[in-house]
Amino acid sequence: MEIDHIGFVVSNIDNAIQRFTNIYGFSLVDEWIYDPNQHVNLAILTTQNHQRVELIQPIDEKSPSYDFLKKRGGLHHICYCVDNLDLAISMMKQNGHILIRRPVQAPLLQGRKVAFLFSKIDKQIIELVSKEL
Amino acid sequence: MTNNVKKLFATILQVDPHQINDSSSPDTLEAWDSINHLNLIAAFEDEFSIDIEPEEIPLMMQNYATFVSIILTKIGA
Repeated sequence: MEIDHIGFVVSNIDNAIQRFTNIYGFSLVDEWIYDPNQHVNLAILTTQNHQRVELIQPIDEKSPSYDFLKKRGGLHHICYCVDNLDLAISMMKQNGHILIRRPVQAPLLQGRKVAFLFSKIDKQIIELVSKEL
Repeated sequence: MTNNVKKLFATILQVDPHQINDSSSPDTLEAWDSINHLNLIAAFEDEFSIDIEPEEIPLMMQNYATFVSIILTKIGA
């Protein structure tokens, strides 16, 4: 697996983009988009070394990350890129992970499929994204 | 069985079981946030050898009564 990006849940995506560009030196890859499936605004930023972060702004309580923002916010997940999404999910479920969101297409990631799991051991949300469409 | 459920629920959230009632929710229990909710799901899956479907996870965050109802249905209690 390779790390694709690290996801942050933020209350205001424009302010967060400014923060990540001005303070941490990231560049916005494209304009941020609204994902109607997840009720979130999303942006991908990158460094010159292609290290990427995803900014996630929940719009309303229908967003899966709305509750996370209410009580925590900030670092939300690590996303790994995998060759075979179904195989990776199966392997991770056998190794201490719970599937918390089934595979769906992600508009921000060129329509590639993503799924979310939770590591029982590390108590960490993991996103998987398929390498191919 | 409901006492066992409440005891485990309280242990994971590190709250007094007496603070928990059917209408308890993330709005009334500070410790019941989205990450601790996943810790609850993990603990109940392991303790009772059950599988909780991804679609059930957000439903179980509505309130304690809904959480318990789904757990008891899966246990067959």
